[in-house]
Amino acid sequence: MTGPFPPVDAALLAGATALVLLALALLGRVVLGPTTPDRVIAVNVVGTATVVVIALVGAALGEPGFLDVALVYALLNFLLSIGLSKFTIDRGGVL
Amino acid sequence: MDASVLGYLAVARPWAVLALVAGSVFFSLVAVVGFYRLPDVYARAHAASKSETLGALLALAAAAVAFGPGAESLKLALLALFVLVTGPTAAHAVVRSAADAGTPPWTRDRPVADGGHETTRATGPDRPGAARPAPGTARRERPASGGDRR
Repeated sequence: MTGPFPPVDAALLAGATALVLLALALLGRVVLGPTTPDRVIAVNVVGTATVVVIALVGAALGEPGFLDVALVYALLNFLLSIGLSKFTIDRGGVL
Repeated sequence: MDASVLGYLAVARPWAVLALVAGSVFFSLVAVVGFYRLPDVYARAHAASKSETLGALLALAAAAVAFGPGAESLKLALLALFVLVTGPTAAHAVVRSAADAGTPPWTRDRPVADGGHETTRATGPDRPGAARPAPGTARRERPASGGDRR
């Protein structure tokens, strides 16, 4: 194998693996976060990590179509956080 | 472009990807440590909105460098702009809903429940669904907190 010396695909996949492990570690805060906003913020960060992992895996595998999936996932993640934060109080006005 | 410049770019590109991925993992690790160590939801929102956003931007930059210039990099730039705008906005919205629901902020002389260490849940109205504290007792009063604002 005569690729570039730090192999780009391996570096991207290693970064994606590390981010997946960190997101799994963050699920502990979702479980034991005492208030609902703690859990919502933790789930939002897990979703952001998921977007990044999708983009990294798409770059490592050379699949540009993964970027569309990442973009849609980022939109849904934002809407989830806004919706939950509007749902947990009486009326709107969180932004 | 000069051939030697292209050669330097071909050598530097994997190192740039490696450095960006390493920075992304570092800042995401900082965010996770902050989520476990910081005392309340307002402090944890810092870890969410700053460290995690910076880590995400670095990782998206690494993917853009790996793809090279083209439509993919443009799409990744749009994705990075979206993450840069929406990450802190979502954290701000969640924290504002927490403030409107009456979650008291952490202070040195009155620790609140944090879930990782000891909790003072019996003395503070920091449960979800707890009653709103009386005006002026536990939290800073804001004029028209969420009532007449759309």
